[in-house]
Amino acid sequence: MDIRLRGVSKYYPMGRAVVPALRHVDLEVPSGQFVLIRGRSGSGKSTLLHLIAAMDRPTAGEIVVGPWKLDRLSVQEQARYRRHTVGIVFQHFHLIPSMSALGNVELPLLLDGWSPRERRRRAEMLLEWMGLWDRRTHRPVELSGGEQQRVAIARALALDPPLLLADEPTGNLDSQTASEILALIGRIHRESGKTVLLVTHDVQQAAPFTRRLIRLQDGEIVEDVLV
Amino acid sequence: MYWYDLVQMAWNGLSRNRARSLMTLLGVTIGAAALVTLLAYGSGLQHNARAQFEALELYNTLRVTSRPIPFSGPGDLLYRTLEKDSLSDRPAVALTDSVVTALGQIPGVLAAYPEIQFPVRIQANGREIAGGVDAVPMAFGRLRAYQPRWGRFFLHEADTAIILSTSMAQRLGFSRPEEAVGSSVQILVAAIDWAALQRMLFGGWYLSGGELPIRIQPYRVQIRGLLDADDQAFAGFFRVLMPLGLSRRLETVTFFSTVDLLFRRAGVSGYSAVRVHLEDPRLHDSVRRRIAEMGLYVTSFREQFAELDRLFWLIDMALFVIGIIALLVATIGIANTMRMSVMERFREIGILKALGAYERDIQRIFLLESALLGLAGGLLGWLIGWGLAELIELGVNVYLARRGVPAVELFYFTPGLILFVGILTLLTGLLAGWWPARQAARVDVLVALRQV
Ligand SMILES: Nc1ncnc2c1ncn2[C@@H]1O[C@H](COP(=O)(O)OP(=O)(O)OP(=O)(O)O)[C@@H](O)[C@H]1O
Ligand SMILES: [Mg+2]
Repeated sequence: MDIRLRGVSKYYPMGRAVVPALRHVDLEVPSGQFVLIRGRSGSGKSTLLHLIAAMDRPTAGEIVVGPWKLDRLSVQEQARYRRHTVGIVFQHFHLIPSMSALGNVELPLLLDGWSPRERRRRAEMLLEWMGLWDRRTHRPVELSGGEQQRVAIARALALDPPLLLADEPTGNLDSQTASEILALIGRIHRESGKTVLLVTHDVQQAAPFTRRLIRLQDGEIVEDVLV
Repeated sequence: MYWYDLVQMAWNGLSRNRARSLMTLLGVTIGAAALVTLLAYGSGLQHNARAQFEALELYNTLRVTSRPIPFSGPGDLLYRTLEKDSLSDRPAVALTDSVVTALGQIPGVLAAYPEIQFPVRIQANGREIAGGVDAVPMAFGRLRAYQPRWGRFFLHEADTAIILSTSMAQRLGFSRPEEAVGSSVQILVAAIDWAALQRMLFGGWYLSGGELPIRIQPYRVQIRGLLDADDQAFAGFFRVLMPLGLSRRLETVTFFSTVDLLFRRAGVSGYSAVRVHLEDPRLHDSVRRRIAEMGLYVTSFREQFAELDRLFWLIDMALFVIGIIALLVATIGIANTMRMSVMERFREIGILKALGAYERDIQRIFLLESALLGLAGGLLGWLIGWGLAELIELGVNVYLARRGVPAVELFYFTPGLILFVGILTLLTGLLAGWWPARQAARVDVLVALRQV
């Protein structure tokens, strides 16, 4: 699913002043592309992903993802868009602590009204694919960071969304585990053809599957190269 | 989301902080139990009064007087004595025996008889109990409510006999009802001592030696029959029946003659009141009209009961308000718990929303939680309130039984009550959860996810 941003700005009010998080960003990502986004802290990377995930609205400009015009969506449509179009992975995993790995992976399916049996089957399949079969009944606290992130990735894939957004998914992991996770994301891209937007500092490890490299600085795209 | 999953998630939310949920539940339970017990007590009062009314055949009874009795409520007794002279400008018709006879001949009237009621003490087996005599006409032998359970109705107008309740016979020391029937007992009746009264009226209290102008007169009578105490409820504790003829032969102070002594106006003599018993309650209006045409005044017990119903309604409302306050406090407890719950799960709500949960579904999860608390509290409260009522009733009845008083039903539980309390607690649960659930649904995804 292709993504198109035109003149997108995001300003955060801070008391009297406004903090510009994104400044007049134009960006087009064709369907199936693997894009790596980097930039210093505060450069607007997360803001960009949140806008594309319809978790926030731009101050100005328009965002179109496939048939969805994100700036026009109602709250309910935003939720439906997130559910079916976007799989999102966070630096802090954001798993539900009281639920098992299976429970967490089943969550999007449960929200979408799948029957208990069908969602169990799908979640088991995903966890097996992630190599977490024998960890499926563990709770997040009983899992390592890498395992938790793999559960989170499985959850992002549960409803097979065409878009995968990952915001520093390796930020909390050691370099060995980080490269495993990045390899996993690369493999997902290769096997499913999803459009992937990956925010990371580990440019070296992601290089094998990166098609395009974008660098943000002070809310502006200062580098955009195909590799 | 499926309802099954919503309920499951609500349940998970409640089980997460079990102690807090249980404490909130306890609050609702106590509130609901208070409400249930108070409401059951209120309807018990009403139910008992109604049963009493029916047992005494009062639905079928009219009370006829020479002057109007503006009885519009229990508080009006005072008004009735204060205003007695200004109420009527036409000459009053005295309630003489010929008037009683005429009343008895109105079609649809089973019996008309002077209202004679006086206190009595009964002695037998070395024991003494107090009671209140109701003089009844022979025609009452036909009424089911006056059919003795043991023995029989009076033989004739002048039968020197009384009919008691089984519980009174028991208190008189007859171990079996059969023993009481036919046995001879002594009754003590108060009569006015005219000489003493004159001394008192003209000489003052000190001349009379501080004595009441009353003489106690003993008579021997037979116990003709025993009524079932349970059928008469409270009346079974003190009510003594006597044939009208016998009561006239006794020299007594009736409840009304003492009042008459003070208030009777010149020119009006005769009985203070006559009771008219209808053959059929449906004849009420026509008989009433006929009596009014005779220049007499009618008070119907049925109308008085309607007034009484209003009083019961007020009592019910008062009890309801007290119970509702208890429930309201519990509701605030639910609201508080739900708010804390929403705050604790702030981040999780953010995750759910990031995954595409609808606000509607999140609101439902929290509403279900508070509704579950309310409903469970309501049902538990109903059970506990019911158990409590049974316990109190048992205690009271054990106490009464030792004193020979028939068992009473203090609390009255209707199927409507459980439904009412269930719906009410469900509604208060939903109400208490409404605002917290709304806030949960409105959680901002990014703000929530920033909390690590
Ligand atoms: N809710 C907010 N309120 C105010 N300012 C914000 C808010 N969110 C982001 N910002 C500001 O917007 C700018 C861009 O933030 P963003 O989180 O997108 O940066 P980032 O590139 O993801 O940084 P990092 O690498 O540290 O995650 C920053 O200057 C940040 O302070
Ligand atoms: Mg960031």
